[in-house]
Amino acid sequence: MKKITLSLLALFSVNCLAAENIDKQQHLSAGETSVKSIYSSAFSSHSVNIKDAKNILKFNGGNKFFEEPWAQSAGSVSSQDGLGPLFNNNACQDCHIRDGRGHASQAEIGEKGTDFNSMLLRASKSVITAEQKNAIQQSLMANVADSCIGGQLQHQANFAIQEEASQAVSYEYLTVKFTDGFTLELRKPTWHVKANGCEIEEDTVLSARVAPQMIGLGLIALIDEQQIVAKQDIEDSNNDGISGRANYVWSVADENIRLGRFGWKSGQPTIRQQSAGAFLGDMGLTTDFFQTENCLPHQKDCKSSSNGNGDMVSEYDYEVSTKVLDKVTFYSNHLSVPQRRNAYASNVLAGKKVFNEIGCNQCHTESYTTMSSTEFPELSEQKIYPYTDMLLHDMGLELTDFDKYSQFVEGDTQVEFLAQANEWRTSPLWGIGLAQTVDPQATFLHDGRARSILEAVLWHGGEAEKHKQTVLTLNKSDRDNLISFLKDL
Amino acid sequence: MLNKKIIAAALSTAVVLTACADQAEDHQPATITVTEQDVKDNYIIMAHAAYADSLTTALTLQAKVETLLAAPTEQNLDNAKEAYKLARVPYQQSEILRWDTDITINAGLDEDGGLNSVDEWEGQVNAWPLDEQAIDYVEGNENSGIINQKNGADITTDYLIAQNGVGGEANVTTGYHAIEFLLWGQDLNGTKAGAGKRSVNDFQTDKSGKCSASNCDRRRAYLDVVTQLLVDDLTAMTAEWTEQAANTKGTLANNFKNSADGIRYMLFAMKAMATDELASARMNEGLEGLDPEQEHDCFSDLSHVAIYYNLQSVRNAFYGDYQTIDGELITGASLADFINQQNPAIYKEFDDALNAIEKNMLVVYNAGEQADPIRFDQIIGQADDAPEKQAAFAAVYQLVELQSSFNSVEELLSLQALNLSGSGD
Repeated sequence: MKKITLSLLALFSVNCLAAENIDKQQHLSAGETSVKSIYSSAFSSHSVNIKDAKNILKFNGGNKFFEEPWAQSAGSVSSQDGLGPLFNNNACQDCHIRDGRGHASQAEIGEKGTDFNSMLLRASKSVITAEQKNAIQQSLMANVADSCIGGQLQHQANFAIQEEASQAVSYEYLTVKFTDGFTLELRKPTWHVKANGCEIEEDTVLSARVAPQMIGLGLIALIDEQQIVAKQDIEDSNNDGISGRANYVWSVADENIRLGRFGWKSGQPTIRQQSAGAFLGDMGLTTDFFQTENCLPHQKDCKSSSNGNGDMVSEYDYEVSTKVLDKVTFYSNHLSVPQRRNAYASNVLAGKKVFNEIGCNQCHTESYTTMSSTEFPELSEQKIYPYTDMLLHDMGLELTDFDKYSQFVEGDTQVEFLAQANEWRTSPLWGIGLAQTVDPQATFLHDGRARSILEAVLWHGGEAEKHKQTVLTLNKSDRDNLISFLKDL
Repeated sequence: MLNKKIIAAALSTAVVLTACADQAEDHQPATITVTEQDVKDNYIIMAHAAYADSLTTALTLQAKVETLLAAPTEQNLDNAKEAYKLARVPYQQSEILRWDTDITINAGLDEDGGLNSVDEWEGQVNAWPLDEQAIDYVEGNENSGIINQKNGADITTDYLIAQNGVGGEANVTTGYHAIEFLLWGQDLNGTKAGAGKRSVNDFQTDKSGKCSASNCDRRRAYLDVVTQLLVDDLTAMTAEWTEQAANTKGTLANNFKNSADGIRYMLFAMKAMATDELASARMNEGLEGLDPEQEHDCFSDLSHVAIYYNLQSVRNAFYGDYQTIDGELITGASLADFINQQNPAIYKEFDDALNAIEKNMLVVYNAGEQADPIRFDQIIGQADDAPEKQAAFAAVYQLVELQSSFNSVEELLSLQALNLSGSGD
């Protein structure tokens, strides 16, 4: 009986769905801040409801520092120097391509890909003292860095400084078959890392991270913490197979423990701290947040290298002035999310239904209203549709972090505050349909292994294993509708 | 064809740098209907003229550089600097065309064997910021840069192209700003008066015994080669916009002429230049006191020229006219006319805003040109109530507020946002 109703619905989709009280605002993924664009600049607009010239200038200023390359110290543009000594890239935008996501290297069978321009490897030890373990458990520190490459592998270095390591990825190509015979090829990565002049420790956990998209971050910062925490179910007491854990992390500004919101494992509490962390970790640029260059004790060339502190106008003991960090933070808060293009098309609405029936929305929570904010009035009290619960979930063995031999580590190894090796924050899905419009090279999932949205769906395991199995049984029409829906986001 | 050429006789002998400002202020609306194609055809003629002037002035610069290298005297160095300044006038006006967009990307531009990417070309011609340590000695490091690699590779155009951006995007080795640095040297005066002060003896030959810094021969070779490369690049770009090119598949002019998005392209380039590039990157970032070298021509202290003529690039595109370096006024069917005939109110809003901006920018420009000049980096250091600083800030805000006029036009013409892929510099 139920089945018949469904097919009738499909036949008369427009009328029937209209009668179902569909949300007429859902095409505005980010409320009044949403931008209308279908082009490669779709992720680069400021919240469209910013009208004040002063704020637009602040955004543009942030954009400039986000786009332009940083120079080694003693550059003539003194406010824009201090790159390195070790770094992953020399401009924010070069990883967050057109404010979108990065990608994993391509590599044919038997080849090794070495394009690590928009992704990086994190490193943390798993054999640590009880005291260290305790500090991590209490969210006082993220992890214990590897003694050879530190907490993050920087594969580039200034002139005459040694890079930390060389890295590559190769793939095993697998074919997945759906119940109806439809097949899809997946690529399973093997990571190859070779440190220079020292050995990565045997117990070190490596975690591959592609640069994430930049859109809608200020809105995510304004999701009510209570709403996020309320969805936690760490012991799965409702027995639905889904736990969900909030990460709690150290906030440098507050000198206190805060909810983690940003990063693939929710390792950062605020956009400002995330930005300062990226300046230091990814570009070797110190800020008022993090004033020490990340040179390791054994990296003598790094330690003795000159810095780019201060500028021509003012003295300060770090490389990125607080004014610049302010601008970049403002910019990162206000990158707009594009409007959906066909939110009310019958196939898209049908796809959304499939999405919900499968239970994808158990973690990919559709909507929130942001809290009120006097600091960022344009982002205040907006109805948004990010499709995330902001919680960490066990995503299964295949997506678990690995050791230097590219072997999976124990899933429950803590790698970033409370986040485990097998846990990832539910990614916001807004903008996902334009990711490859913004950059055709963009790939999906934390390590960029998925070349399409459907590939990403099929890598879901752990708490989402059941959901993936359901996807594999979808018939062509449901599958196509599901993809249409996701591509419309 | 609406395009006509008017010789502005009164202006033809005047110093180029005092020209241009006023003739568009009372733009005369067209008396007959202009079509989209008319506007585009006129734009192609203007584009060609701006690039042709850029080439002509670059050739003059090259001649002055050759004279300097043949006889390194103060006078010859000054002549080369003056030629650089004149070369910036048309080039900054051509910058309205400096972005790759949806209409040029993957548009088969390599079909004619000419330029394939505007962004790549621009990165070789006017890249900024430039880390001068990649080129020559700097305060505190007398051995930095390609010039001081005694046993380094011979300096050729191919070598400089290959080195551009190596080890970091800011390691710019080519283009206007590389020439600017070679002619002026570092400006170490902060917000005080004075540009870079390179000694002319930096250009003596090694064997003359007068070389004031090491590796003069390599510096001479560098200046010679980098100027040649600029000429080559401008030659290639000028060829993309000739009348013949407009009828040849694979050229920028032909691509623009046949694109259904030509008007959209013009408007979004104007918007990017006015509200973002000029207002923010080239003016506000410096004015906010972050860093006096956050100015476009920081070695020469000629930013007032660069920014004033960037504004002209926006005005030219709107009013459909361009004044050549010979004082000839190229004018024809304009975007202004096209908008005016559909909605006079929106046209007037735009026209009024552009004229208000012009007045303020002229204050900044004239301050830089007056007998006891106040250059842009000095304005950065001024008190907030100084008239020049107030004018500069007013222009910045008016440029940003132009966005609402752009929005009105986009709505009027039902245009969607267009991607401009170039990064700000």
